[in-house]
Amino acid sequence: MTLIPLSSMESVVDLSALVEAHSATLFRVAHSILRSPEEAKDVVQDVFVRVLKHRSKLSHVSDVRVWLIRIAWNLALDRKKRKKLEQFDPHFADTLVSKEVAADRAIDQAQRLRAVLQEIERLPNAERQVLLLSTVKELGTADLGRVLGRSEAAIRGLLHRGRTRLQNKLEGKL
Amino acid sequence: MSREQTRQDIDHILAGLSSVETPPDLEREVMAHLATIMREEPLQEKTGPRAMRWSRPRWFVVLPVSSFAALVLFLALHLSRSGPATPTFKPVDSTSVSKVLPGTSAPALREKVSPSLRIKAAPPKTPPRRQARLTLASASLSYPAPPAPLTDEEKLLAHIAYKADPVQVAALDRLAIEAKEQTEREDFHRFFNGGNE
Repeated sequence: MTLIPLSSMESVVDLSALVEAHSATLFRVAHSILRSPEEAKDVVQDVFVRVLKHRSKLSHVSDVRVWLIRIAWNLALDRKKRKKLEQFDPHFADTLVSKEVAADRAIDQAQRLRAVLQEIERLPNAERQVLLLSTVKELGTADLGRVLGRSEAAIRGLLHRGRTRLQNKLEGKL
Repeated sequence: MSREQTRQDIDHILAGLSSVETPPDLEREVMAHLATIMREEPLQEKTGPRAMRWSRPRWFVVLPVSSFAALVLFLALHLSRSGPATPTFKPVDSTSVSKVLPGTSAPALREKVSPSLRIKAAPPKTPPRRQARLTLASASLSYPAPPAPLTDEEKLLAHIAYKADPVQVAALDRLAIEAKEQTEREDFHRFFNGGNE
């Protein structure tokens, strides 16, 4: 039986509290970028591994929640850089298709949803980031501003421009 | 496709991303993963910043220590090389040996010195420098090979060569030598006393 030092026990307690409070939010943040539950789970684990390694800096962090979301965001972006657009999970769009419609309409809807996801990936970085982070329901505009280092007005402007650009592109494509 | 349809599709995607369900065992898996990491790296998590501080190389500590180690190594090598580590063989004649140990002939010296030297050089626990000195001394005494004991004929010849008359050496016939000596004595007396007689 291995004895864990007292400082480690305190860290475990602190970490367990952090995991319980923020893991769901971090999972959604990572999933909004990666669209894969497995990879999003790996990102959440990596976030807390980093917290474990740098927990001495926790006392200097003013907003732990924003700090954790930034770590998850950066880790997810780093993972995404290794993947091509075609390597994203194609089944995510299929899971969103309504099961109550006819088969031919379901296929058409799935194609449209895949096109939306592809066009989101082609948006400018700032607009795409704001659009994806806005899907995390725990994050308001102020939170988005703190995570991305922008003002609330800038976040609202980016969100509007991104959505308009996405709609225009889809209309032109369709 | 209408603009409304496109807007609905965008909302559908964003809502789908927003409503993604977190795995029910996410927290447990994360904690298990962290526990595994903490078991694997107990020192790192225990010491934290102190461990990071000590892991950095400090030039003002490393430089003097490495300089001192290099000095000690140099001195050790220099002292070990200054001694006669490798014996060199030089031809030594018996006269030089006699000069080193006056009053002792080469065979006697070999008989007296060599066994003792052999005994001293034999133990393996002799310090390297002393052993090298002993090896060199024994090598000097045994090269060239000492002369063998003289036979009886050689002793007789040596006795004649160093103590008898050279004419005697040449004239081995004892009777002829005595006759010649007798003739010479008579000639001597005749020359000096002949006029008086």
